[in-house]
Amino acid sequence: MSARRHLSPLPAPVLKEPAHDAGAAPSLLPENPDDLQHVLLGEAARFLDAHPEFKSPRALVDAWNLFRNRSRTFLLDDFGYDEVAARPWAELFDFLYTVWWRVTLSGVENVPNTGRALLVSNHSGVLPWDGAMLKRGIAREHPAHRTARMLVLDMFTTLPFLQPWLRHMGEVRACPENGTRLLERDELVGVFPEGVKGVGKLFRDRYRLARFGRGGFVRLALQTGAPIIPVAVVGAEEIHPNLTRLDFIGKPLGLPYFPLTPTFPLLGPIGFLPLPTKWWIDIGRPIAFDHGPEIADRPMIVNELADQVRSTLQTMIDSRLARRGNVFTGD
Amino acid sequence: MAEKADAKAARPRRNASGGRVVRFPKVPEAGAKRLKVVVTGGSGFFGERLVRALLNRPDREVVVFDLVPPAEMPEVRHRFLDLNLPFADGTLFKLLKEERPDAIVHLAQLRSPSLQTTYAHELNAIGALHVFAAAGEAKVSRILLGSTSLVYGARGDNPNFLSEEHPLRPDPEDRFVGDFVEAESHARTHVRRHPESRVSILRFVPLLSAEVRDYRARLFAAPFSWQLLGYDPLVQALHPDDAVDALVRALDRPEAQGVFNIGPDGVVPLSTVRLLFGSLGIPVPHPVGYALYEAAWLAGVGLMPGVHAHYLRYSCVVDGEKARRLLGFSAKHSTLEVVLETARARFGSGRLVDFDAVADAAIAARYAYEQRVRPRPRVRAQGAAS
Repeated sequence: MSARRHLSPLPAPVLKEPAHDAGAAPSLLPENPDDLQHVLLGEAARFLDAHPEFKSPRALVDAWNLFRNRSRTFLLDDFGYDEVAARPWAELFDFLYTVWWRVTLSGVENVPNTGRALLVSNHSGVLPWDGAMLKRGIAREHPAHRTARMLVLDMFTTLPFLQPWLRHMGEVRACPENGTRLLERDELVGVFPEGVKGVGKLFRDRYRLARFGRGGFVRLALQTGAPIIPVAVVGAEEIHPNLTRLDFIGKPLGLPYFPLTPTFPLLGPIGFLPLPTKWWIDIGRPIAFDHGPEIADRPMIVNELADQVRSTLQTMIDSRLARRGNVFTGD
Repeated sequence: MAEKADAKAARPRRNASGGRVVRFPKVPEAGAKRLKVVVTGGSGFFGERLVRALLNRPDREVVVFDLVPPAEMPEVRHRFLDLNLPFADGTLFKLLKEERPDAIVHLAQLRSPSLQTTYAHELNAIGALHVFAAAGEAKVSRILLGSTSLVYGARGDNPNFLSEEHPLRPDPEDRFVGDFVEAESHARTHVRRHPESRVSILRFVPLLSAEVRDYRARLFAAPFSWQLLGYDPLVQALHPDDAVDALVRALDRPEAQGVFNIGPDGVVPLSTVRLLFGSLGIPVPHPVGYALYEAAWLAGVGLMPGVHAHYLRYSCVVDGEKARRLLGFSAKHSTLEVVLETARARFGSGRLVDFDAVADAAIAARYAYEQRVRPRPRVRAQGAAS
């Protein structure tokens, strides 16, 4: 057998005359160079002989799939968080953090270096940029560069494109099961107890905390023994001033709210551009409850504790607002 | 002297080299009473593997109830049973009276959607009804029902890990999954009628290995499939050996009753499955995707009805913590390992994917899982190190 065997799955070109030398390998090139079909087949055969990794038709699909998944790794955690895929996005968030909103973060020392903790923050701004900035701020300025795992509303985690993207970024759908699972693994978890009532708040209600859900975050903290760290975000309420909710558009689209801002939907895609306000993120002292996990089944006490956290947070927001000057410059 | 003995007893037992003494369960002798297990569907893909595993145990006796005897196992006792025939429960009752088994494992099910919906319903849902009816009359108290983790339904508001208490919310139009839900409801009714019975429902994550040819394995292995644009759910895949191991353990522990999720460690996005299998996902907007799957299904060339494409849109991932605690079961193969080994065995040659590198990543991921992801208890044990 010759060294150069015909390895391709394509049929061997038919030779017009038998080879003179039986030991010589038949050429893959066609006899008649004008025969275009045979020239192309010959080229394909030569390419496949030179690149045996392309022998399977799946190799072409591989090339595409590998390109599509080029930034991804196989090192996912249970929730699909891909640390490597999330890394390039930090640049965008750094730009927003340092240039666009000029975030001032204070009290980062209140976040423990290790161990579980529950960040409880106010929610605002129509689109959840506040969560992204809180997460980025802790990753940038905390000595341990901890990754906060934000619990995100269903309305965002079920949207196409956002579903896989949020997962890569390490965000998790907001529900008690997910929160417990993360805290039991000693993660830093961020929640927005106001939920959709907070993020879809009207401009005239800005910096007035909505109802804190059903106290689920307190139950979460009690059950896992995690301390609650209140976080006040000031400046995010003005990025998309929500004048009114257009329910006649939002309801048929299945959205919980459809905002009317000075720029949206009037100016189309420009309406998605948030205003460059000046932000403060104040991280308060951890609140550790003396109660045991059995209190989680006492709704009245849970509500009382939730209200306690809510008033602490409202005080933090109010004191920052009193010191704030211009919305855009902060002076 | 007595004090010293007490102190000795309080400490964990250690051998001469300082290692902890591990007690293995006693293997009963061949002469002892053997537990007689009836496996319905014992000639099917899943049942046959269970029968083979039970044959290795000297303390187990297996009888297969199926249409045909299991292949290449002439030593196994086989009784003909067709759960689709009228009065199948009566036939089954007579067989059970003759065989007098200690336990029934019901695995006579179709594990892929079928266009013959009546046949599939009769077997998957009504078949379980017959089995429970006959077992109740024949006073066979230990029954294991093989179910599927798909019964939770793929929903956008599912928690990432579904526990056994989570309500079952499959799409009502999904008859394939609905039949499994109905089979489980028969099990619950049976427990109400026979409180002394010990029924376990094992919800298996869909199986995957180089030999599995169910609709899901065929979907993953297809050269192309429709991908719902912008959606990439997390999926799990269970190795058949692990599934069999869970059943064997459930038979060993008659006190473990109720529902158990049987799943592997770890999750994998659907896009990674496509990447490893070399399958092209053609992105289409999801309403179009449902329609295309349904059209192919109705034309007889599809793998699943359109409504089942929910499982390509949202995650339906189960938490196997209860099985780990009560059955002592933990899967030997993680999801990534199962998908990787299947893809390598079936489409391993002439590929651009570096399977060895992925295998290294799978080991690293497993290590990271052991190190980081295992839950730690709320109250740490004191003095454990001293």
